[in-house]
Amino acid sequence: MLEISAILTTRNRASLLPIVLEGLKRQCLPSEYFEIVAIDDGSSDETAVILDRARAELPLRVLRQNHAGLAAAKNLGIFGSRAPIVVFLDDDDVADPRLLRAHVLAHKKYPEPEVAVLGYTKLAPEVGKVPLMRHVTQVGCQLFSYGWIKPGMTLDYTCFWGGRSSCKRGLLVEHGIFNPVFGFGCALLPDRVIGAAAVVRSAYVMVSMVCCSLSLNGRSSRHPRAARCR
Amino acid sequence: MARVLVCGVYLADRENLAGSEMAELGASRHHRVTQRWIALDINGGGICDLPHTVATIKVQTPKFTLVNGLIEDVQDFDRLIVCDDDVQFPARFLDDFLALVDEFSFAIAQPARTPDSYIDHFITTQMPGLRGRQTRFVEIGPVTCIDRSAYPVLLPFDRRSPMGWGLDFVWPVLAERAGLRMGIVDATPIGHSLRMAKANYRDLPVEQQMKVLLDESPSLMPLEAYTIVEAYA
Repeated sequence: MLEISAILTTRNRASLLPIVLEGLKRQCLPSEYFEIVAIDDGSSDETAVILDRARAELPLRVLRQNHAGLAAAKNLGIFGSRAPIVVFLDDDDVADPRLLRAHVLAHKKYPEPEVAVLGYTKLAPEVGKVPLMRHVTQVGCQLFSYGWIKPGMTLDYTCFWGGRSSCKRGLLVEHGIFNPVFGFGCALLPDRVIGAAAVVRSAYVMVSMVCCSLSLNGRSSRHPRAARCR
Repeated sequence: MARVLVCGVYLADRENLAGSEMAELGASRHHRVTQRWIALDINGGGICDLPHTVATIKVQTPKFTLVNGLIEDVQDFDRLIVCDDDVQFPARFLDDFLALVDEFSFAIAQPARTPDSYIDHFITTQMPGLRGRQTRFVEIGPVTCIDRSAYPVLLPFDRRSPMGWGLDFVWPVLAERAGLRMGIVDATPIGHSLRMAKANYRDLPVEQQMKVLLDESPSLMPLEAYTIVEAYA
């Protein structure tokens, strides 16, 4: 039974995709419990060939769109997913083998529909050394700035980041998706966030779970059994 | 050239876009279009003489009750389009929309809504990277297109929910059982921003009717219904 859909959005990253897919092949979560939904955002390189080839070794579905930006690609991934949990991956994320299992376990611990989970990302050494990246991660703290986040902490909605974060699929499809007008992606979402749990690591990515409790304005859904959020 | 029956209801005593909709739908170059509209003039004094108006009703009457009265001869048409009165169509809508409905073999279809529209179900928001997508959900309005292959499955519209609420969670079950495909066309998005849903029928027991319908009928849960089966770039 599917437990989690990994939404992998990509565009013209054929050079990186093999190592990204390799990380997903090494997941310790058995393959019957997850699917990868790859969204090819109008690539013009070898992306399509690489993804098609990977279908032989991974539970992978590929959906293609004309180039429309990250927000549109994520929305396609959300509605193309079939598992109750979705995790967003970028096309330069190399997943630790425990990544998908850690997200699933975190959601089992926090089953409330409004709880989301943020994964920790460790930059590749060659990227972390670049002065600009060192500034935005350690000085300005605009990106990949995890130093202040502790396991179990309550965070606000601004920590529901675009990559390596997961949530219940129902939270998005019933209460708000990414606004396609913002090409890079801006979720129509939340308000409050909580704590951290497990820590996993790999050569490129280290994942620590931060559980984000998202308090939403109660939107009336046209279905009597639609999930309600606080 | 398909024979297309357009049925709609317009609120004669409220601002509406029915006149421009009639003009756009009637401008089809590829299809033979017959339009039948009902003017709903609850408060009186409304403008009830738009072209293609076949009746004026003075008492609050649910949309699909009225539409059911317009489709007795639907078998004479290849497609039925049910249309609300607050829709902004792009130019050449009908020809472009139906061409894609044909290409994707959708028996039940709707145009996506522009992102600035009032949105009731997020899956209906236009996906700008796609021309269309096969889904497990097509909503009951503001524009719904039904191919003749789906007439035996969907028509007449279920009287238990005469405003249509909940039908869109029942239709996918009926369609899948009949081997029919349903989907959303993104390349011809419509604007739907004149009025919010529910704005004009607050007094009708729509939620209770929907509950009865869904309790008595096989239907999908929202998470099952809000699913894209295949995408067409």
